[in-house]
Amino acid sequence: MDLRTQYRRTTARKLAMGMILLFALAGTALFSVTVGSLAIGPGALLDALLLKEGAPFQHVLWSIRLPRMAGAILAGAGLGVAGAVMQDILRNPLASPFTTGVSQGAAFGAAFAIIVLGAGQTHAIGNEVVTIASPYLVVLSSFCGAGLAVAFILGLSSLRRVSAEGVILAGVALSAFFGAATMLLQYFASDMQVAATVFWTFGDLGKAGWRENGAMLFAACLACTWFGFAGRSHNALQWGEEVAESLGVRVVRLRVLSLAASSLMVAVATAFLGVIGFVGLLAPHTVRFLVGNDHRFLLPGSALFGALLLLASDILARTVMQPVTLPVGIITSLAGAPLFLALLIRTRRS
Amino acid sequence: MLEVSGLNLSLKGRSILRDIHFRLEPGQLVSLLGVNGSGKSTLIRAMAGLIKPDQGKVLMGGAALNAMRGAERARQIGYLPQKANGISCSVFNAVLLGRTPSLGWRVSSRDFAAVERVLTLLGLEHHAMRSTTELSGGEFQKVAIARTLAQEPRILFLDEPINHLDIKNQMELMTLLKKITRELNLITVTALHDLGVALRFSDRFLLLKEGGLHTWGDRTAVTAPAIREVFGLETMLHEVAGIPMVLPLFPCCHA
Repeated sequence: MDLRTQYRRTTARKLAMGMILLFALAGTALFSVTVGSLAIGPGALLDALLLKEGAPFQHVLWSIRLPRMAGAILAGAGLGVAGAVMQDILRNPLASPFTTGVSQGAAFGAAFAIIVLGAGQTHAIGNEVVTIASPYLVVLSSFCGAGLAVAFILGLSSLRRVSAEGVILAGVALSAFFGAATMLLQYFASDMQVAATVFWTFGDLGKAGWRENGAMLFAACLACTWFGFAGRSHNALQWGEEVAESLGVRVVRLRVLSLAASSLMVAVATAFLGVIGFVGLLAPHTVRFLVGNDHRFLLPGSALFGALLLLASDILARTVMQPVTLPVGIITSLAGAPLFLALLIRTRRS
Repeated sequence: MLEVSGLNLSLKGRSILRDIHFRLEPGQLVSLLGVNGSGKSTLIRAMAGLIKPDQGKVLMGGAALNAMRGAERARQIGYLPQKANGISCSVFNAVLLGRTPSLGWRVSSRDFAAVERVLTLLGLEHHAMRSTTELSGGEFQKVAIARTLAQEPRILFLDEPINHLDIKNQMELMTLLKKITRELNLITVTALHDLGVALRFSDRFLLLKEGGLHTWGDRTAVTAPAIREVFGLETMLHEVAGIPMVLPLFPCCHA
């Protein structure tokens, strides 16, 4: 059997894996809109989806369930890709938006915008406590917070003799710093403002509306355009900076733009939904196991798997203690922390 | 023809390379020799365009290599760093990486052809679908060289390519380098520590001492006095069955 056939066969296997993930995601998405405090049957679901006149559940579906589902997919995909990219750029299997403090930086930025810059004129409307007056200011501030964390981690990792664990330890310090800074802001804020910022500690998909999803989609499109070009360069970077450079990759530009694109996705998701931990760590590692290290497959795979993971976590969050809906961040952290420890032990050994 | 003239380079205010001049022809396997810290790696990296020299030119057939950018340079120069750490992927993908300068999202039939040619040339065609993590040190080094050859370069810069290999693999790899240098009409510059291996396989020699080029030229440039001055080592040079041998005697005072 010649080389081309063999290569095409392995490529086809990876594409098939992607298709399986896509179908699993579609199935889970469909399932996610039917579960909840109101169970929607298949017939009623179809009616409501097609906006049939007088169909029940129309409001529940279009204003609550569907935006929530779309939010999970967009945020999960963004976090998954960001994790895969950060692991390559920092050459660190433990890197992810959460473990390096980027998510916490974004959360601090959001809190800063609401409390100090006055972006969150909060009103109590029904049980929805928080309405954000200027979401774009929150996103921008959140992006700056994430950028601060990224710049710090990037600077640290470019120093010689900083180990993979060292970068993560710095991430711990950074998380603690941003956590304390957020609390400091909250200490001097009004009750309403505190209520508006508290939920950033644990991400909650209940805040995903169509407007928020639109912003996340925009960030994802921007980032994916860049990663479409940069997939090959990321493959080269895996072999070391000098090898990549000698293959014609402009390493500095790649690092800066890829990290900027990643922090944009993380910042938008965090600004609207809060800190969602471990999706960005779990997704790339699982996908690496399924399709290998080629970023042309790893990046889209991580997006699909991240979306799947967050969607499944949200279904769990909504059903495990019915009728109480838990913030999805609690589920992902509970499930993700043991995996992180396992990875840490494995990295230490090798 | 590769021509280096007036190359000066300093890092953090310290002068690393001083006034380097030499000329090399295609088809030559070249040994870069010198003690640790004499500037071998820096010279290789400067010629490969990875660090910018303060002064001086690196010309290939009249075109300035150190003025080229990115992909253009990658089509001229293949580079292998001293520390080669790999990731887990198939040998085919590892070699395909060398096509990065000309590769789109899909793999074109030209890319396939280039990779196939290189794999056959290095005798790796039956390992194409194996994982790089299963390879021995010698095989892995061959894969790394295959990657640089897949770039279809005219010059190869290899920084201590045989350092971590056993003696059989050292011989195999040097024989292979000699063969591809001739067949592809390359200029192959290797930093080496083993003087015997260098004398046995190389056509030209560059002897670096404290960042300056002490001597350069063919076999006749490598003499016992030159080795004494560059390495601070008394040696005897002999030939056994037509193979040059360097017998180290004892370290001596200067250098």
